Amino acid sequence: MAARPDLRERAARLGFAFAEIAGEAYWDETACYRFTAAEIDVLDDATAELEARCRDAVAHAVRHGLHAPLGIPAGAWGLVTRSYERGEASLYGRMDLCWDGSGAPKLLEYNADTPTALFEAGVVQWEWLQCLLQSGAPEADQFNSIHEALIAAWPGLGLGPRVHFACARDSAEDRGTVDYLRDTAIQAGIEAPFLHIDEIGWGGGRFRDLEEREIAAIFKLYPWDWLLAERFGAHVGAAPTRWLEPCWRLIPTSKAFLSLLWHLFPDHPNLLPAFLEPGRTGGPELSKPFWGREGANIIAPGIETDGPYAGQPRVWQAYQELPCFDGRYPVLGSWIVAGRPCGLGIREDATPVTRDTSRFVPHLFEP
Amino acid sequence: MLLGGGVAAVLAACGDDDSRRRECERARAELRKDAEEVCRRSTTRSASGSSWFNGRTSAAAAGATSVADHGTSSRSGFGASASAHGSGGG
Repeated sequence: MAARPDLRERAARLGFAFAEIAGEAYWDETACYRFTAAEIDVLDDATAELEARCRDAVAHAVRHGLHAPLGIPAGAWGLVTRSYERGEASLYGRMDLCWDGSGAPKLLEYNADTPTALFEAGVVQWEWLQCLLQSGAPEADQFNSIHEALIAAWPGLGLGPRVHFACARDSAEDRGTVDYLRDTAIQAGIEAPFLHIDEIGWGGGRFRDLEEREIAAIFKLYPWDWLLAERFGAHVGAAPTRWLEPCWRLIPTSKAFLSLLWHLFPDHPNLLPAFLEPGRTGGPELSKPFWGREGANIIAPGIETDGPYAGQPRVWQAYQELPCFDGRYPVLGSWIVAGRPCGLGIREDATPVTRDTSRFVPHLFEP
Repeated sequence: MLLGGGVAAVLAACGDDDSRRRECERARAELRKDAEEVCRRSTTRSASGSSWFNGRTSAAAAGATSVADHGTSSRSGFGASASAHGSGGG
């Protein structure tokens, strides 16, 4: 497919500041994935089923105090369980699925804490589809109600009239994701000031913004395992601040959670065998660090990626090589907002491991 | 019942805490030379291998008291991991 000649201008108009990352194309519309409506139903159903099983497994982990095998330090467990027992709501998550259109989609992992690739899934690929249809392409639809679902979700989170938003400095992708979420919150009638994560203050027993206002609720695109390890992490339990994602999302974020899922639901069609020890899947395995990110420190047959997480404990998952189309390996990112499946974003890599350098490719389906 | 197969191992790993604590108390009571090493192990989650939670109490965290006194918040208590690892999203 030919990319739109005015792609850059369109990206700029949308506020899509990371269509290119480090001089390389990130958004790639020279190809797209074409599904049938029945295939989208399969993805929708698999995501709903996995979300339900993940909720079951989180409840099990809390009930049985499984912090140690999940790699969650004992000192952090009280924050996790308190957040869970208070029923603190989750806004969103992204399940990474492996599927070639036949059989059952398999869960590779669940990014339940700080998923990105949201703006491009919710807005940019929708705009791409509208352009395509306006150019005379045959009727098509997209598995994508992400934007509407986010706006609808905010009032139900019980966070109050103001929610602060924060992320680290120097990442256009993170900032773009946070600004997009701010936009959805504002459309839901919520005041949504931004500050960088290092600008969060602590004073008088409260987290505070740069104007010394109390941070009563905050969306942070910043991993809980980082947050709690840092100097102010010690204040989290003392402050009344509500966090998004809530602290209990540490449970499904741990890659060890994949092994818990397999223990609880063995032979589930949407799960891959996963264990806390090597050699138990009965075949080739992929191992990944409990708190690894963006394909770092993965070990699989013929693959070893670098990264800063080599020293962490690992989970061993049956190796399911991604399907390959024209030399591209896609991972299907299935989005969940307020507990319900609502859209799809696809990232491709030239290797079987999806990394932060992978490209985002739009999709459509034939109704 | 959830005690079959791997789940039993998972639960057993959790159960290590009490036995390790008892081992620590016993080592100290017996004035063993390795008592402090044993006790250090008892508070280290070898099953998880993870030690990223700083484990301090709020009052002990730097800046907690001076902040309220001056009416200006202490800052830069978050963000160090991003300096080391980059983007927080994934």
